[in-house]
Amino acid sequence: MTEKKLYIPWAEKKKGLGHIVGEEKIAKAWDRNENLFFYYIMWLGTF
Amino acid sequence: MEKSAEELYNERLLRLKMAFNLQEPDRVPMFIAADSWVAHYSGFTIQDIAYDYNKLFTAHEKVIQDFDCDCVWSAAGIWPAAVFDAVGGTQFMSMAASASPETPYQFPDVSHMEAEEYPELIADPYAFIIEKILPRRCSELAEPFPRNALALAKGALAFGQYLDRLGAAYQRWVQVYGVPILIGGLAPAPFDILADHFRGIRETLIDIKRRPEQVKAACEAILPLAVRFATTSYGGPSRGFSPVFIPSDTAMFLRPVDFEQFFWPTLRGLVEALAEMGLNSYLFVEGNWDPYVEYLAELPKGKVLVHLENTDIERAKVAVGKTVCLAGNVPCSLLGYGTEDEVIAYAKNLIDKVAPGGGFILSSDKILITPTDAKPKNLLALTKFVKEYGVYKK
Amino acid sequence: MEIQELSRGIVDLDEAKAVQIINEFLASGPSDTDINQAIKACQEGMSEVGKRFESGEYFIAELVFAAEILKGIMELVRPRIGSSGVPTIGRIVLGTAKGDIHDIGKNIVRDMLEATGFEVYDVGVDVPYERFVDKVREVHPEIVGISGLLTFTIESMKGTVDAIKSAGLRDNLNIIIGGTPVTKAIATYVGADAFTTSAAGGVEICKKMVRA
Repeated sequence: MTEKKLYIPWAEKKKGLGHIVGEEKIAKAWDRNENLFFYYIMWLGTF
Repeated sequence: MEKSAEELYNERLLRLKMAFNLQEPDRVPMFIAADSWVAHYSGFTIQDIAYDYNKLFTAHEKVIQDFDCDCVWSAAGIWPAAVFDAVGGTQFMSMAASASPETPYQFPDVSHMEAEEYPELIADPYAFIIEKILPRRCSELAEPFPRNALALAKGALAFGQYLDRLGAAYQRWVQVYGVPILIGGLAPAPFDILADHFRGIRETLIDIKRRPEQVKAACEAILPLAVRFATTSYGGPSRGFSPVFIPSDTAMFLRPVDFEQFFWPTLRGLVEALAEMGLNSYLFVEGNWDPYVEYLAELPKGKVLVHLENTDIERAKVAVGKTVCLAGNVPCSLLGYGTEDEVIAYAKNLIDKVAPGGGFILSSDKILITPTDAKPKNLLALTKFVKEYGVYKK
Repeated sequence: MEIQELSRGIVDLDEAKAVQIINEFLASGPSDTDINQAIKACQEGMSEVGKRFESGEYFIAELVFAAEILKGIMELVRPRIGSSGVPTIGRIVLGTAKGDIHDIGKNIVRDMLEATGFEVYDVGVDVPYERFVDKVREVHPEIVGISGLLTFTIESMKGTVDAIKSAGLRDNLNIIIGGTPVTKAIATYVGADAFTTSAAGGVEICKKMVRA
């Protein structure tokens, strides 16, 4: 099963990026937006 | 002395929580499952509340003020129309296309998926939605880049604005009126996602006969998306209690042996996954579930509200009332076309038969969508009646 | 060919079997009479499917699949139907009332009525009153069937019946309304002659209306 990885949680995004300053804040903001966008797509796909 | 909003909020929330937990609160709670019905009640058209959030929230506030219910069911509905317009409409008939100021959204049964596409859906359902389903449902998303990207972005902007406004309205109602918000999140049953929104109802019913293993696999593939839909949509002031709304409309077309194989496993899976995360579920069970009611006993106890329409609610109480909280089911045919006396008589019998032991919330059988779904005076009589007759005597 | 086998295939929802039988039958060089008998066998099969629905053994999904099997069979048979055509038992104009776009129930009823031998004129969904009236004027049906699923569609059903009355077409016409919100009281309010909340039940009522 191959996923095209259109949903990209921070854990995926950070791969290969090395050390990041303030990662915790970035991770939180990134995931929050990724989740909100996921909600939007699912909503468009079902309503 | 008048109670403060905070006192009212705590009192109402406790009443709902106890019913949800299958206990007897001080009295039977009641909610008004009002969707676009609020428009006409408050002197607005459907188009008003679809496009103007001030009017949408004013309409809901009038209902809150006039009916003194135990909660706001939801003010979200399937709005906002601005998002639909940006992406070129979705499956619902767009408000702009609606000919009448009172005609709300409806579901045409269309198929956006070929039988040959099951393997693709199963392999990566999220990509399938973005690459195949969305462009077929939303005309702007079928346009070439950059037009489709711009449309998706505009829709997202409108969606974000709408969520912000909705969240603010909810907070205000809690503070001003002391009224909890019932529905906290959203996720259709996986089989419904496949049948209602991807493959089409007719085609899916035929697929159950022609390619049953693919239907099952598709539901299993969609399940994690449904779970994530619930968690990403989740929010609101009454967190920790507010259930996730799970409509289930196509179950009633299936005979029990097919319900058990195709519809039930992933619906139960959804409810169980949510319960494990500490989230409650609100199953809106359309039609008549008499053939399937016993299955509800398999759900986690005290974590699920089941809203019944035509199902025999007295029988359901006996069969599954110790596992799930039941809501319902004063018929809209009475609320909309009957007399106050008829409505009260129905409610009295309902309370007599279903309220004892707790785990019961009074409501209409359907979601109120058009003015004919309920006469305001009948609803008012109902809210007054439940406050007197619905008291649990200790 | 064993006619009963074809009928059985439909009743048992055995698509592969039904298709195999009809292909063998068509390859055997059937006469017009043979073809009519085969169609009659299909109608009997659908009628039995309707009975199983009424008894609670079959649900909507089975009705939909039976109609689908039948559609496939008729597609194979139709090119071979003789000049005399298929005998019909009546004509019905069928549509979903104004403001309502639900069509699953209506389509099931349409397929079952056709399988039963009716000539069905499907005027679609969200049907303005005038389209019903015009079709009635054009085809002179015995029956008009109005479908609706939403509570407010009852008003459109009434409007449709009133329009038919105003056009002077109400006499000699049987009007049946169908859909989950309809009741006897609502049928009276609307001005219909009959009502049904079940596709198969509706077909039986229509058969009685034309004394079939």
